[in-house]
Amino acid sequence: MVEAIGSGRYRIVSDERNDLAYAVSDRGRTWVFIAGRTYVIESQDRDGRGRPHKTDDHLALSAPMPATVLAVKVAPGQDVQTGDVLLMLEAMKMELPITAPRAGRVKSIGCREGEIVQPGVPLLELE
Amino acid sequence: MFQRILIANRGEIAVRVIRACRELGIASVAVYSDADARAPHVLLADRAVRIGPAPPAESYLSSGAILKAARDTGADAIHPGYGFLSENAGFASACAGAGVVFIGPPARVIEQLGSKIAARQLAQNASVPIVPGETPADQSNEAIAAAARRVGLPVLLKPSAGGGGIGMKDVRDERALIPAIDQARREATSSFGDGTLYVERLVERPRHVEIQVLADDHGNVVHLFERECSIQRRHQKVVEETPSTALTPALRQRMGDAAVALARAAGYRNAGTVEFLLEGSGDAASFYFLEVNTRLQVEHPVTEQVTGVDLVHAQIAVAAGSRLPWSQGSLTQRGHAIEVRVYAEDAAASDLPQAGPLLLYREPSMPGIRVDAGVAEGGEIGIHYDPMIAKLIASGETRDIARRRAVEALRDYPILGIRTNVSFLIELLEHPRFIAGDIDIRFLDTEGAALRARIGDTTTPPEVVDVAAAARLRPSSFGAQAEPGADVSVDARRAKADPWATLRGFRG
Repeated sequence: MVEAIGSGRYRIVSDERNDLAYAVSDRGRTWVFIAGRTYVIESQDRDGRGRPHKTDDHLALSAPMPATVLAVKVAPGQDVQTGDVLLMLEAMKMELPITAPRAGRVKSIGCREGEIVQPGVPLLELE
Repeated sequence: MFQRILIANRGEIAVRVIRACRELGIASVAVYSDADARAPHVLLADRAVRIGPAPPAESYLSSGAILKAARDTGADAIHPGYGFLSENAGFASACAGAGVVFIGPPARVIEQLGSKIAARQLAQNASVPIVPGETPADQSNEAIAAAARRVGLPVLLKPSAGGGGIGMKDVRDERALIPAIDQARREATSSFGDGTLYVERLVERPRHVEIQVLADDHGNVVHLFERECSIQRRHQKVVEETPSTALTPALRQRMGDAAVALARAAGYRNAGTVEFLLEGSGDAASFYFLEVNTRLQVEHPVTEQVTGVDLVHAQIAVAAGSRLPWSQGSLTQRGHAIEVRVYAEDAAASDLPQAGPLLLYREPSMPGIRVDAGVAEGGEIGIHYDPMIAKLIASGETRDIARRRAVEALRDYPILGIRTNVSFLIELLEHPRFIAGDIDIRFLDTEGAALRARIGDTTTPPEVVDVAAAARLRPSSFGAQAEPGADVSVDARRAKADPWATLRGFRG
């Protein structure tokens, strides 16, 4: 049994042992903390952040986290190989390269240098 | 003593310094960027001044805006914290020019110690050991090989230009020497446009051990013993502790004396840290000067916990012209302290930094635990600054008690809304090599993958499903509904049957 005891705290009662958990649900994502471990449970209607959104024949790439676009390394129409750096992002003093997950042609670019981009928003489409 | 101190920083260190000001009866002035308008350091200070937009270059690094804020508020001193302008000689001299005391060493000392070559020269003059090495004037293969033999194998070949490990080669035996020189030169030329090579003795499995020093305006210099910071990745420290498991009293004294000698030779003032590489352990170990950090360190609390000295109080007193109140002989280490840095990062995905809201944030409170944080529940970890959320410092009579306390505290440190390295830190503190004190600066390179694998386990215990289901019934989160029990008990069967929720792989 799980019992809510207020302020985001939950008591787990079982035959073997009792535990205290912390949990909060926010925009389709539920965070649970038990004894030093954090679990993130996503509901079905939410797309995975930072993962490529695959539709039929093209692939849209997005930032894994809010970030600044440092450089756009490719142009629309350009052919790229797997692993090529397409965009260079920066967040929290770290450079985050966005690389091509497969070979293809750059269909469109949805960001410009200096722009702050949010996760889940397509930055570049490959076809 | 100062009337009003401006704190030219943000986050936990700004909070730490503001608290010290309050304790000393000194008024405090916070500065903030647009991203930090309601941050804890702003709420805590007596006054707060906006200095610009979120990007550091336009706010926390803007010496003009900060000096203007100091003038406008009548601050008579500036504490720079760490990072940002703390080791900027130009800022220190601009403070002096504006008639504001910079709480740190004089500008010329920052400048001299900030130059690797000048600092190395200074160390040599003060008879502080440096890693033996040379840059041969003749850069032919034969001349470089001869230099390597003089230095003594194994050696490290380094490009004179550049850094970041590019072009660096370990050479352990004679036959590998010439091919390694060729390869290092090629990499150095293509990366830096300069193939000049430097030969250095290879320090095997080094530990990072640093000595805290404090100096006043009256010729007194003391050290406050060591901190071991070998647990690091990408030159970022993760765990720091004192005492080091590698030091004996005799070695501690040799390193402390070397740090004090260097500080004297540099004409040092205020708090500083002399970093060394340590090879081996015990009385037979060798140590080599790395660099001096001319500021308060992130990891200063472990020193405070074992010496009983408040380093920020000391910094302020010394900057105001007071004498250090201790002699070297009156300072002692008691017990053990371990600091872990809690980062907003996805430990299971190559430590990718995370930004996001702190939906739930509860610091542990228990004997021997200190948490230095600059965040609060309801706040946000933004993209513009360092991803460090807090530092958790555990103290105890012995290293093992401090370590166990750190583990227990982390197990009671829920941070929700953003991925953190909390479970990674727990695994690290429970690693047999860490428990044994068998660490060196490659520890996370060699053990990191195994630690990550342990937290990357993809089974979600059934009780987590139950708790998540209960939490989803109260989507407005916890604020308004503190009444216990009521309608919110959920059992496992119903939770699992909920078609709306599916589990994804979790990360701890």
